[in-house]
Amino acid sequence: MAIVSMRDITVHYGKNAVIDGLSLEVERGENLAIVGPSSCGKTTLMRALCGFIKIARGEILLNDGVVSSPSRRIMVAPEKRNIGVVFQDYAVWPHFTVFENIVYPMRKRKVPKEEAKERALAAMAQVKMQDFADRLPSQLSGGQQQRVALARALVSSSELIVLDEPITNLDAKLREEMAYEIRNLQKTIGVTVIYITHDQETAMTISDRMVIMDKKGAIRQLGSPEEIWNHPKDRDVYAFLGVSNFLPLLNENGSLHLVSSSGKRKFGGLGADIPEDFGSRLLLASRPTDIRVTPLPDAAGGVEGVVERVTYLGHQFDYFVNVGGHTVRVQEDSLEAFGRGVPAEGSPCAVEFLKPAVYEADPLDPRFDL
Amino acid sequence: MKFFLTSMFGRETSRGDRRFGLDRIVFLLSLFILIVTVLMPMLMIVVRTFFKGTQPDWALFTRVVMAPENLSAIYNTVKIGFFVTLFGTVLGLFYAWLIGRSDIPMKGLMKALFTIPYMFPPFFGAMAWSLLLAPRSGYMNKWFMQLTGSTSPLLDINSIGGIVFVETCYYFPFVFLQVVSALERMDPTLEESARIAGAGQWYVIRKITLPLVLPAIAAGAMLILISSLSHFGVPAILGFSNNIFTLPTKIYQLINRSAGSFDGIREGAALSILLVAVVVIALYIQRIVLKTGHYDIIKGKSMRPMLIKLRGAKIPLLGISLLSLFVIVVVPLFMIFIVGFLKAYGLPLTLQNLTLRNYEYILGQSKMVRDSIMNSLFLSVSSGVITMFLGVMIAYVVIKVKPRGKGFLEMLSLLPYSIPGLVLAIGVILVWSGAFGINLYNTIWIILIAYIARYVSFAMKSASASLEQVHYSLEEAARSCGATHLESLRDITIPLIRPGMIAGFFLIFLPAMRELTTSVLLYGPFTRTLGVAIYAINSEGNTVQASALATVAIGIIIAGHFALRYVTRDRKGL
Repeated sequence: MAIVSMRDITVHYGKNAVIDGLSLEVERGENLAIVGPSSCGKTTLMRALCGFIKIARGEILLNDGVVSSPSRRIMVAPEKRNIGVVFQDYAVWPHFTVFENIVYPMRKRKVPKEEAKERALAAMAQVKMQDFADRLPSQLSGGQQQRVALARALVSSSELIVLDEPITNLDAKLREEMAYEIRNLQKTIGVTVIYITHDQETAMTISDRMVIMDKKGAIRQLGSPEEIWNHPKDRDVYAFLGVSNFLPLLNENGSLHLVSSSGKRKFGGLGADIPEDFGSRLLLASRPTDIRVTPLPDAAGGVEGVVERVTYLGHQFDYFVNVGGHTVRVQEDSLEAFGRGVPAEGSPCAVEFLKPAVYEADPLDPRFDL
Repeated sequence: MKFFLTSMFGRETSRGDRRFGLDRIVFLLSLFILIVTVLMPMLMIVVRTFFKGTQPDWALFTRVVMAPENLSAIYNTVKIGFFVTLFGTVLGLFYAWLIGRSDIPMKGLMKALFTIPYMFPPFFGAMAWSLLLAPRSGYMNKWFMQLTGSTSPLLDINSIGGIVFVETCYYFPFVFLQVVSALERMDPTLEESARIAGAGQWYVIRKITLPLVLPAIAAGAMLILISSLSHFGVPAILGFSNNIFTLPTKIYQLINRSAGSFDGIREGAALSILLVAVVVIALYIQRIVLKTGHYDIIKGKSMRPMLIKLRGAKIPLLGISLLSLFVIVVVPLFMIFIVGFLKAYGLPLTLQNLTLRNYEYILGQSKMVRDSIMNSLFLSVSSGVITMFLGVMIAYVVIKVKPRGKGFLEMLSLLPYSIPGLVLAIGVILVWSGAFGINLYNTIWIILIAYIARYVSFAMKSASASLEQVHYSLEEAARSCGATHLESLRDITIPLIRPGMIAGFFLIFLPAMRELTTSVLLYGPFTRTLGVAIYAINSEGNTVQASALATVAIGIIIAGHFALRYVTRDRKGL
């Protein structure tokens, strides 16, 4: 049973439609990440769900009850929707202590004093803030404030929590810890979590399902992290998920050619099927870790290229390889690179694409104009 | 108007009608109060000037504009305004540069002294300087004549020059404070990089520093100009005896002479339109002359600027600054204080001529004075509280609710800022002396209404500043925690802006406590204010008692300032 249903919703800011006809179901107890580039309407979606803004069309259901529906003139107030929210800027009240902040939602929902205190203390322990009960937010670091906000959201709803970019302002180590914590909380308490972020990596660590939104505020792909990572629906999703290389290919009656600065070059051994309905202009997509670079004399296959730069990062090597006028980024595990021999800068090499994906190219793609 | 009304009362608001109830009530209520207290008086002035009954009547206005005495009043007003703005700006700029950018010592002391003229009404200064430089009776002139045997006074304060001098002393801090804060917030690397590029000291001041602080200068100069053009107290005290009139004093004389007759008030209204026109034209010309640009390089945080070494000029400049501060700040306060203890005005300032009788009289025997203190306290506290809440309401609507028509509301609330107090007073008389079935003339309520209109701009600005600090997510967080709209205001928003509200209260309380310009037209037999009482006692020639009462007022104002300091001191956690 879906806890949240958004049906064909449209949201306007002024005259612009930020979200236009979006539909989404969130299953009870799942951990859903909504991912997309900045200003794609993720936060707007969250605000519409929480009842901070009106939708212009469509309807939103919570627990199968309609909470927003302009056509039926329904607009349930935010305080009656029972959603815990962690805001992007934490929104921890500066004039309340940590404890007062966390106990506030229960005070408003008339939880008996003793029980409220108990639950607040438990929530503080969950986010490891139990030693800071009497501090004011101004005496806390950003990460600590964020944890207070999280504890407050946890006590304010046992059903649904929305987190808007909750850990992006933390340093890398704390971010990892908090991401793990959030996933853990959700698994132990069973609350439904909607996690909004522009950082696809954290989204993948945390979520059961991911929603990829595009700049126009529409959903591009919905699925488990594995599904999306392994089968990005189109080249935008592919590009959004991480560092990616795209090479322009021309499909001339089944034989492939790379468009390079020195004209067309035969491109053999793609290792991926090309759907029949694709046109002649294709893009080969490949992750840096899925490319193998071999010094030329020993090469068994692949296309020719020149290693332009080699960077040693400790755990891995970064290569910038020029393949027919296109720069291809390659990452190789250090151990493997030392075993196989590190190519010298300026040396010719063969480049093999191990797990490529193929997409149809945009008709205006500049990569074809070399 | 019809379109306007439908757009304002229509259902749609830009943030949805989820707050229909409370927000709409707040919006309509503050709009209603502003229309009644600000817009209607202004409209009534126009209506009464150009209509006699229901008939259009242009004759009155033409006659008033063409009257030679009024023309000369316009001339004086503009002349005084021009010179006060010029001298005040130059003076303020010089001190601002000295304190903001040079290595002159004793900056803290000087900064503190510069803000003192801010606290006291300029007409106290006029009284004090008249004690020193009145042509025959002024102490300084008498000493001069005794010393030199001359029969003509050293200086005559009852002149245009005297008025310009006193107003300059009181208004130059406007430019000083604006420019000092701009200099403190300016990134010093902007100047340093010019120096590194080979520019000389003076070149940097002219080509880098000055253009960057130009907006601050323009803002300060504008404040001086508006204040001077609509100023009543100083020209009233220094100008009447020599028949020097400005537009505000002319309006006062007209209304006073007509003793509240309708024709007198109509003529006053026509003159008011003239005064507003002069203010508007002056502001417009100034906008053209000083085109204000916006420079983002002036940052919010303060940085350590490169200080210019004064070297040999340090001691002379310090001497000049301290001396001028002494003259501007200390001398007038001292004169008022000491004369308040004199047995009679004109007696030499020796110990055996001092007495406490004046205080005994004003605080004990004179019911009028005691009443005036009570009236002023009542008016200041009540207008402070009411206007502060009104300001919070307006700022809340403008910043948080943002309905259609918010621009109109904002404009109405900022309008009184540039309307001279006397003009406002006339408008209030026209509205509240029976024209709409309510006659409050000669009661304390008409003064209260005028004060609310006069100070609503201050309240609105101060409330906006603190409301802008409260990010909307703080309120939304409360809503999502189960608080209703009203509860989120009560639990979150109001506590967070409370310090700003208290400061806003004092920003109204303090000027209201010494107010003269508006109340001088509105007071009745039993509703004199402190300012009116001092002014009246002084014009009756009871100089010593007026000085004693002024000393009492200064005491109240200083106490108020300490209270303000106390409530706005650094607060933990906010």
